[in-house]
Amino acid sequence: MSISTHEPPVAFHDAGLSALRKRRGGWTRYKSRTFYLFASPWILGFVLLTTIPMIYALLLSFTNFDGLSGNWHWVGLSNYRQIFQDPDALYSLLQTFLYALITVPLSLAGGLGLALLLNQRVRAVGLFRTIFYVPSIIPIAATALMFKFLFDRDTGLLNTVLDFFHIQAVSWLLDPTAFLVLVILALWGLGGGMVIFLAGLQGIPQELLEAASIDGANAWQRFQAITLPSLSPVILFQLVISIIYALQTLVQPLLLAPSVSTGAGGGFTDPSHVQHGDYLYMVHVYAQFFTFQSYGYGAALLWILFAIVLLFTLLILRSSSFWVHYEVDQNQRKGASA
Amino acid sequence: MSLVRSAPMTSHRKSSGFQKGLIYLALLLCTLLFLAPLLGNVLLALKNISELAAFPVHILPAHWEWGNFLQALTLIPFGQYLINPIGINDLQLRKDDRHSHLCHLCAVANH
Repeated sequence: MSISTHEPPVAFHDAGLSALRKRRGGWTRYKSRTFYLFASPWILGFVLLTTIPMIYALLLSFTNFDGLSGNWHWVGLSNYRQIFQDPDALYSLLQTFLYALITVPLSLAGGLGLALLLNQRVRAVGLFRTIFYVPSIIPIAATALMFKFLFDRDTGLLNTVLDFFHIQAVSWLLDPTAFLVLVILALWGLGGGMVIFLAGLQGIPQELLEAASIDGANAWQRFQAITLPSLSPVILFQLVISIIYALQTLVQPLLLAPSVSTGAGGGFTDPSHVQHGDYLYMVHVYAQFFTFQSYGYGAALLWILFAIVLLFTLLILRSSSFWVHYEVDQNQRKGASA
Repeated sequence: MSLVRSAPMTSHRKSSGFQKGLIYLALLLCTLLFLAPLLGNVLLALKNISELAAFPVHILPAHWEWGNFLQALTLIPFGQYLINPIGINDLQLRKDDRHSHLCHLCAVANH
């Protein structure tokens, strides 16, 4: 291969870390034109579809553009100042943190639990794996509408089943329980993480586990001394990705909200109908853009979210040297830092 | 720790019947949880409109409306919507009225 680096290949996050540490070496490390040629589809997409829109949004966030009129002007940092005086923005941010704090650990633990179950010698393992994975390949709009039908007060399946046990009908989609439905919807899709955990589990050398059980380690000891450390790179990846996804949740609260016209699942959705408990940060952003036409303020909110996501990601990656184990790079890391 | 040669083989390969039973029980419970929304949706898909709103709810449709699935394919230009995301239709769309309408909006926005 013509990719020439100074260092031997290491796991992705480590490469990311070392790239962060020595920023000036970033571009010159890859000397080959072939590299850029092969990477060009991605680079083009990244520049045209990610970088340029992001810069556009950054410029937008310093204006009071309303999305339509040409009568806009530069307002400096006032959009950013406005965020700190906007109780809805702060509330939605806290609600989003709560959502991430509940769904991320639960879906990681649930995914790992299912993966452990499926890693046993059981019959029809492929069938079970498919059943748990199916929810995460259904388009999110479809799953949200499905849940809206399922949790409907009068025609929902859940209340019908509860009625069978003589439990009174609950308005699941309205406020005290709306957030619960959102969490359940997130947990229903944990099969995506399960598949990745399963792949990680199958990469653990059997000899290690066998040696441990010959030494008298019980199942729990094997799990926490071998399985968990071996899976830690997978857990790191899942943690970062799930937090980013959780913080960006938009479609689910919008579609679970009561429709503007009556009828379950019918009509169009409006951010003003989103229940208080489901009012996540991205819903607030959506409302700024498409209800109030405050494009500048919405873009400022988006950049704040980007900064928060970046901060969380960096904190987790920094913390990873304390709890993520790599089999290959322990010595290389020492060599690199020396 | 000393190496115990006669340690009982509680390897992950050979779990007892009781353990196996627990594993299957957990798997079946999870299957129920994961499939229930899908099954509920299939039952909904087979009802007609008046039954959808019926109260008390009929869990099983009185009238199995298999035609709903045919309608899903024929009521809207399903085939065209299916290939739209692939981008084959992008070139055709450019000549489309909807698109020129959008362009008109953009022009308005620029003024």
